[in-house]
Amino acid sequence: MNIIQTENLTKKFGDFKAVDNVSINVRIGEIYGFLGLNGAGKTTTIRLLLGMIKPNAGSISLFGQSTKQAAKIWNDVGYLVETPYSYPDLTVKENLEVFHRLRGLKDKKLIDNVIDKLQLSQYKDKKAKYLSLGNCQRLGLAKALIHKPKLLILDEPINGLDPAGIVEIREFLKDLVHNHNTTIFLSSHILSEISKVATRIGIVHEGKLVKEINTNELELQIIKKLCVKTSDNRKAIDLLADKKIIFNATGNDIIETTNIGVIQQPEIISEILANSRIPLKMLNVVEEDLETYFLRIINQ
Amino acid sequence: MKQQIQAFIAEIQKNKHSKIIWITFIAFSLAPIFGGVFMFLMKDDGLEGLSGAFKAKATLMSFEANWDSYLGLLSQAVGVGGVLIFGFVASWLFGREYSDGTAKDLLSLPISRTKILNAKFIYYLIWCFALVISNLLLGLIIGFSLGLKGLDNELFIKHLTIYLITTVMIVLLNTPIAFFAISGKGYLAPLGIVAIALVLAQIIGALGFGNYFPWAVPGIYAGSGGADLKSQLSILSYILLIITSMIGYFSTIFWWKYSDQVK
Repeated sequence: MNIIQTENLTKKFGDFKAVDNVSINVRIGEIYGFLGLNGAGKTTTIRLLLGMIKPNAGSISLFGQSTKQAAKIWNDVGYLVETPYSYPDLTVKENLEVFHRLRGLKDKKLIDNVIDKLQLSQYKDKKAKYLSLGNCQRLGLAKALIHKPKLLILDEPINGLDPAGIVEIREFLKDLVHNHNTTIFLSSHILSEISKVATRIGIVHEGKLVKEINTNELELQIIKKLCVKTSDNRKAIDLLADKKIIFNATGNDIIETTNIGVIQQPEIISEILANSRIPLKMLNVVEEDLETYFLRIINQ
Repeated sequence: MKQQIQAFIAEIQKNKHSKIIWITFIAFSLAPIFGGVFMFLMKDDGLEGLSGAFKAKATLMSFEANWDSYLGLLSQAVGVGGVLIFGFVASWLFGREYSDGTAKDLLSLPISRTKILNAKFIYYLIWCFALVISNLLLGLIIGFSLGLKGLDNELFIKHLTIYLITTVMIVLLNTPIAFFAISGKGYLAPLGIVAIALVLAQIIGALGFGNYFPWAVPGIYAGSGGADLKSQLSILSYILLIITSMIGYFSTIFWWKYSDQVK
């Protein structure tokens, strides 16, 4: 079942297309990472999903229902959009009481439970205006989670968190999916971070969805190269070409190949070169990092 | 209805530590206090106790140190000061969600956006009436302390009616302020509109067309322009005021429900 489904979703602000024909399907139990640079259209898409802005074209459904149909849909949705703010003169607990009431919740324990889960217990009587950025983020997440939603829509949820907080929230989100049947749609501009939590990643650039990939396939998409430096690169290229191993010269006195077989067994190259008396100066397997991969995809 | 009550209680919870509430009560109480000073200065020497602009105003309005003048002064203070203070209340209540960055948290909830706005309108109504009742009580305390003369039931009912009708008119007039707070996404834009409305009310009133400018009508009704000006108020004056209020209310609801919310 698709929890989120958009078809050809388009949003324009004047002549500027913030979201351009985006079709996304998020299945139950997925953590869908929505990745893009700042200004790529992530927040606009999230605001469209939440009914905060109206699309110029296309459709949105959550749980198979149009978001226009009933306010009841929001019983099952928790969200955090951009920087989370709270009522500054209210304490953490009082802020959560406001949303507990607005959501029509009855069980008062939900407030203490979510405070405990987000590790806000020691701050529960502290006014929101005195919280650190990280704890403001936790309070924002607590507001999104207080009613145990089936769908969580989170915009840059790790902003402002310290490394320990990032790991903690990451594990918390995984636990929600694995043990509480929650589906999560989260945006980020950091691929390395999103790849640690998402099961599927959609890359958005200039409003367009440019690529969708399962996280477990990401490894296959990353470009790997075998870089070699010898005392005579030209001779080495010719010699290896005779053996049907294609190497190319780069500008910095290095030759390289993307031949997977060779990358997995680089000792073949050292053996061939040694047998032909071409001294080897360097042999190195280089793997494209996630940020380079991301930039390569959006620049394609 | 249950959801409407919940939204209203949530509104109370949001404002329970707010210092703004007390600031408005202090600011609004300046009217009966300075009115009392006015009466105190006139008590022994009549108009000769005053000087400058106060004396000119008191002469124009035929003020005396008695309950009739003092209660009339309280209504006039509501008629003019109310536009400012109630406008401030509306600006803050409706604009704060944007200034605090919390508006987006109210948009995708299982409670309708209209109910959330209505809760704010109800809170605004109660806040304004609490302000005028506290001022009336303070005025009575000051008036009795000064030993003002001439209070009877008939006079009190007459002034109370003017006082409350003036209040209702100003309360109604601030629905457009709520609209400017929502559409301007903060409380600066509506405060600017309040200031402009006050200035225009003075200018248009001075030009003799105040009876057709809704923001001038409460002041004229309360008697701040004198009896001649008050007599120019017609049914059209009140109809224009009510239409302005309705446009303000429905455009606020419409904007909150249907416009793109990007802040």
